[in-house]
Amino acid sequence: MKVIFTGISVMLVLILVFVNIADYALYSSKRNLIARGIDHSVCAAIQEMDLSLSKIGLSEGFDPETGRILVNDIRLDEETAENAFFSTLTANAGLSRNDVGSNTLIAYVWPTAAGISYLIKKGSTRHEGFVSSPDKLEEAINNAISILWDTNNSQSDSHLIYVNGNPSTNEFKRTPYFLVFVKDYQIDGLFRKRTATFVGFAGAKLERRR
Amino acid sequence: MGKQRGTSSPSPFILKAGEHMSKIYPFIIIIPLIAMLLFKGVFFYEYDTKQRYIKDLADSTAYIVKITGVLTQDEYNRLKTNLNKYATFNDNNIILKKGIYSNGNILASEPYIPGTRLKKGDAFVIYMQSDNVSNYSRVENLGVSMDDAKNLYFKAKAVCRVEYMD
Repeated sequence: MKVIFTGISVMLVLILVFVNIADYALYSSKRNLIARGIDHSVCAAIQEMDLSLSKIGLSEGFDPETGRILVNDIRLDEETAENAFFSTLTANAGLSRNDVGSNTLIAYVWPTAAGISYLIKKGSTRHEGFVSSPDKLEEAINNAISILWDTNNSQSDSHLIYVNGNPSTNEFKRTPYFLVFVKDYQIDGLFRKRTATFVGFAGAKLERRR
Repeated sequence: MGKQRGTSSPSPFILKAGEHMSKIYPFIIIIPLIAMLLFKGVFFYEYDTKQRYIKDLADSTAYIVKITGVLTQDEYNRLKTNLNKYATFNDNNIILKKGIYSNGNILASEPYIPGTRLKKGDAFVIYMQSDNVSNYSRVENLGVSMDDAKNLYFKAKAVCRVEYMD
C-alpha cells in the first residue's frame, strides 16, 4: 500500500507542476503576442494623419530662425487611426475592438506653437488638455488615468505609465504621438485567469521633402 | 554463546510469498505513468520554446520590413535557415503578402515577392506554419493524427505597416 500511495503522490505532484507550467506558458505566450501586436498597431495608427486638421501645420515647413523642421499642429484622424490600431491588433493577436475596447485608453498628442496639446479617450469619455513641454505629458496622462479608472482597487494592475524614466530613449519629444494603455486585460491560461496591462506608443516620423 | 535465533517471528527483510507481486504491479503501472508525464513535460517545454523562437523570427522579419521597406532575398534565405533550426519550413510554408491600409483597415491579399520595395503606409503580412507536426502533438495523439485539426504545428504571424520613406 505504501508503494501505491507514494507512487500516486509523486504522480499528483508531477501533474500539478506540469499543469502549472503549462498554464503560465500559455498565459505568457498570449501576453507576449498582445504586447507585440500593440507595438505593430501603434506604428500603423501613427501614420493616419488628418489632412484637413493638419493643413496649417503641414504648410509651415521650417522655423525661419533656427532652420529646424516644424511639426506643430499636425494631427491624427481619430477614426482611421483607431481603425488602423484595432485592425492591426486583430491581424497580429486576434483581439478585436470589442475584446479590449473597455480596457483601452488612447491618447493623441500633437505639438502646438505654445506647447503640447493632448486628447485622451476612454470609450466615449474625452479628456482634453495642454501642457507647456513634452516632459509634463507623463504626469498629465497619469492624472487622466486616475480620473478615468477606479484606482482604489488594490487588486488591479499598476495605474501609472513610466515614459520619462530614460531621457535618452523613452522620453516624449516634441512630435505627434499615438499612445495606447490597455489595463487589466484578462488573459485565460489553462485553468487560471490573470490580468495584464500594456502600454505602447509611437511618435510620428515626419520629414520635409526638398 | 551467541544469540539464539528465534523461529517464531518472521524476518522483516524476507518477503512472504505474494508480496513480490503486490509491489511489482504498482511499479509496472506507476513508473510508466510518471515517465509519460515527464516526457509530456519535456516535449511541451520543447514546443513552447521553439514556438517562441519562431514567433520572434516572424516579428523580427516584420520589423525589418517596417523599417527598411523591403525583405531582401538574402534576408528571406536567412529567415528560412533560422526557421529550419527549429522545424521543417519550405517555401510553401512561409506566406508573404502585401497590401494597403484603406480608412485604417488592412487590405493585404497580394503575394509579396522578396526584394520588392514597399512604400510608406503599405501593409506587410508574414505567416508561417511548419511542415512537420511538433513532437508534443505526436505524444498527445500517439503519432500524427488523421484529423489534421488535432495536430499541433509551429505557427507564427506578424502584420506591420511600412514606415520607410524613399
